[in-house]
Amino acid sequence: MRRIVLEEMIDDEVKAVVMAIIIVAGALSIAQTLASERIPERFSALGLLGPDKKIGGYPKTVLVNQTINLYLFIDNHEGRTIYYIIYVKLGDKWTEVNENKSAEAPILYTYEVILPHGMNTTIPLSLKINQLMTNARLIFEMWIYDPTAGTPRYHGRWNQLWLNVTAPQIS
Amino acid sequence: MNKRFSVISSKILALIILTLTLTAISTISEVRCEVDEVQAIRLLREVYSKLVEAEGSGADILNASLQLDKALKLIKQAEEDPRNSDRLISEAITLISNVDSMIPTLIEEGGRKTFFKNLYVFSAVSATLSSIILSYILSPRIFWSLWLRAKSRWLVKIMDEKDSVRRDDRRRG
Repeated sequence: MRRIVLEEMIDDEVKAVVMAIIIVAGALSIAQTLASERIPERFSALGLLGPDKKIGGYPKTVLVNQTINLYLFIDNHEGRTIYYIIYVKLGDKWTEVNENKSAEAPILYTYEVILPHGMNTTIPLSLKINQLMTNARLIFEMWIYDPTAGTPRYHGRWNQLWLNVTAPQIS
Repeated sequence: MNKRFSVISSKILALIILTLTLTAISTISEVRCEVDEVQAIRLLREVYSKLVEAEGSGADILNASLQLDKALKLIKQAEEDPRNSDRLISEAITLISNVDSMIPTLIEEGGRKTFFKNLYVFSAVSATLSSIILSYILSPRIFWSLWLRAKSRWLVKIMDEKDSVRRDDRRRG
C-alpha cells in the first residue's frame, strides 16, 4: 500500500531530471577515467640557444676554427621514449632544407640522446668551422632512430644559424 | 768497409721495422676503438628497439631508458677520449647488458599493469552504469520515504474541494 503511494508520488519530470543528472555525472566520470592518460598532441621540440643558454646572443661572425659555444634544447612529447639524433650540417644560402627534406650538406657533428616522454634536455655544443665562408648556414636537423626500420629517419624539425666565417687578422 | 755498411743498413732496417710496427699498432688500436664504438652503438640500438617494444606492451621503461642514455653518453665520451676509450666502452656495454637483462621483467610487469588498468577501467564503467540504474530506480523512493519520515508528525486537514483549490491558484494548471 505504502509502495503504491510512493510510486504515485514520483512525478515523471522528477524521474527525468534525476536520470539526466546521473547520466551527465556518469559520462563525465567515465570520460575522466578514459582520458586520464591520453596525450592530446604529440610533438618533439628542437631549440637553438645562444652562449648564455637563452634565445638570443647568437654569434654572427666567427673566425676559422674558432669555438662556437651554443646550446641545443630537445623536448619529447611524443608519448613514448625517443632516440634522437641531431646532425649539425654546414650549408650555404643555396642549401635546401624543409620539414620534408633534410639538407644535402656535409655533417660536421652528431649528437645523440635517448629521451623518455615528457622530458627535455639541453646539450652544450662546441662547434668549429674550418673553412672561410660567407653566409654559411649551420643547420641543426632532428632525426630519430626508427626501431622498425633499424635506421635513423628525418623527423622534420630543423634550425639554422647564419654565420660569416672569416680569417684571423695577422698583426 | 762492407761489414760497416751492412751494420748501418741493418740498423736502418731495424729502425724502419720499429717505426712501421709502432704505426701499425697505433692504427690497429685506433681502428679497434672505432670498431668497439660502432659495435657498442649497434648493441645499444638493438636494446633500444627491444625497450620500445616493451614500452608498447605497457612496461614502465623510464629508468631503463635513462640508463641507456647514460651508456650513449659514455660511448660519445669514448670517441672524444681515446685514452680511456676501452674503459668507457666497457662501462657502456655493461650498462647496455643490464638494461637488456631487465627487459623481460619489465614486459612482465607491463603486462600485469595493463591488465589491472583495463580491469580498473572496466570496473569504473560498470560501477558508473550500475550506479546510474540503481540511482534511477532507488533514489526517488529513498527521497520520498525520507520525506514521509520527516513529515510523519504533520497533521492532515481534509478540506472541502471548493476551499482547497482557489480559482486563481495556477499550481494545478
